[in-house]
Amino acid sequence: MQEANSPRQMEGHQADPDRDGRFLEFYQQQTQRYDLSEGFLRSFAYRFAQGESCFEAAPEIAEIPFLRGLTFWILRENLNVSEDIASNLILAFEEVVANVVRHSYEASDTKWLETRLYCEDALFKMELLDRGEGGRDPELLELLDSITKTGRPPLQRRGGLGLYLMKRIMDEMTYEPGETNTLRMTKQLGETK
Amino acid sequence: MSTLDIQMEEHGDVLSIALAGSLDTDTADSFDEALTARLEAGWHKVVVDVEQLEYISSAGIGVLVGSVNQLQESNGDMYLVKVPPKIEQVLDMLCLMELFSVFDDRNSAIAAYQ
Repeated sequence: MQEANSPRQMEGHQADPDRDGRFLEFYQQQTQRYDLSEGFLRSFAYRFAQGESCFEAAPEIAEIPFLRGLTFWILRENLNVSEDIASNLILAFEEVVANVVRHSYEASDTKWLETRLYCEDALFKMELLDRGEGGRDPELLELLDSITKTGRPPLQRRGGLGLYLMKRIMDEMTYEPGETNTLRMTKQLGETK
Repeated sequence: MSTLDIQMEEHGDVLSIALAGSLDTDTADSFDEALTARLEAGWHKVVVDVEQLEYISSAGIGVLVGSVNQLQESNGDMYLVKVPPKIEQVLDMLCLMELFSVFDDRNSAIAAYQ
């Protein structure tokens, strides 16, 4: 059984003792701070490689704050993103993950989600992959379209505020539904820390 | 899971709420339940002190927006107190600061209802 304080490494992880040690310390603090299920801890794995930080997990709603904190740590420590921008990026991250867990995986037992974070030449890119039903949800796609056309937050639609927030924070968003749904978001960064 | 501390006090006919921690996807439902119960019990003058709120997501904002809209439609209101810059920034991004009257301290907000 996966130990709570020894997260699994994904294939392609490039070892860096200093960085990995700091990450492990942070991970252990976070697992003590949040009440995480054994299933979630078993599902969690990460990969740090040249220019890319990646993790996968099967979160429930209660585990989103853990992933949010983890993403903030990666943005600040691995990708050198400024605190102000990192604070906004984790907002966008939470919105996506919450939508996936709430809507895409409503009737599913396998809430797999992979997050990939990149930063190169001051361009930040976030990719979120899932295998839920959201990509085939006509109401969700209609909501995205409505936000694009009106430019206003859809206050009357559940989930609308979150999607609008994502569009305000990120420069570009593309969504590819399929067997694996992929949401890509990019943001030009003005400064790093 | 996140932590959201909710403290409620009654000041005459004004319900004063203080929030501390994270009002996010994980905690928004419990806040919604607690607030809805009070609104259904007849409270329609509400003050929410958010000085100790460290994080808010759209889920939390949705609860605040839904509540203030409901209150204003029934001649009530919800005032915010001591909005931290990070929280104000999120509300600004959603063009929602205009929905709320904001005060620097709780007593001023409560007095504004008189």
